Amino acid sequence: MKTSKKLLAIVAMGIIMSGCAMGIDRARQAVTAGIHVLSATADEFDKIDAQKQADVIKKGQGGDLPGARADLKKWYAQRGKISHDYELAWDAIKTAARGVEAISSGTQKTVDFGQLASDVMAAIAQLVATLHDAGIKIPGVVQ
Amino acid sequence: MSPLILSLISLVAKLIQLGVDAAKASQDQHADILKKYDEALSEGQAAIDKLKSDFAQRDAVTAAVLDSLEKRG
Repeated sequence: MKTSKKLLAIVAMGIIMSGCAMGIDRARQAVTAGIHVLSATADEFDKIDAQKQADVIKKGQGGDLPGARADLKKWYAQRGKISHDYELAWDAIKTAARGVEAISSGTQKTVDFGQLASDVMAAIAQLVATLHDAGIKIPGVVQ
Repeated sequence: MSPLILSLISLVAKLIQLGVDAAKASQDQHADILKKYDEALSEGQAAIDKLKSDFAQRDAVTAAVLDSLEKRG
């Protein structure tokens, strides 16, 4: 009975240690992938904003001022939603990165890496869906 | 000990070794990872700040142009 209890404890310890190693890897991968998507999105987002505003000015100069203002309002609404999702994704990435740092540096003993990785991936998926709805394609990101 | 217990111990030892190896590798990479994360987080924050600043500048220019067109009638 004593031997089986010890064995169970050892098995549990082995599983927990392996699980921790896999969890931290998953969180690291999520952070890396997330930073890649956000970096590509920032570049494209900036270019598209410049293009949209140039189009609005052109329309206004062409005499359709109400149309220009309506286009600008529509773009600001889309841009606001994208910016909101972008910032949420950025926050999730920062939280996951801090979790990995805390464990790596030993300042924290337990971190739910599975949850952190899921939060990052969910936030990125939401951002990608919003970009897709706005008709924005990000180079190097599958939508 | 029975062969079953011996094989269980061997399996557990392998699992522990896997965890220890991963933990050791993680410690070895610790400084490198922290440095990369710091750099990536700083770059990410700088990109967001630049984006906000670019948006604000463009918004001001577009608003000024549209207002000017409106005044001209």
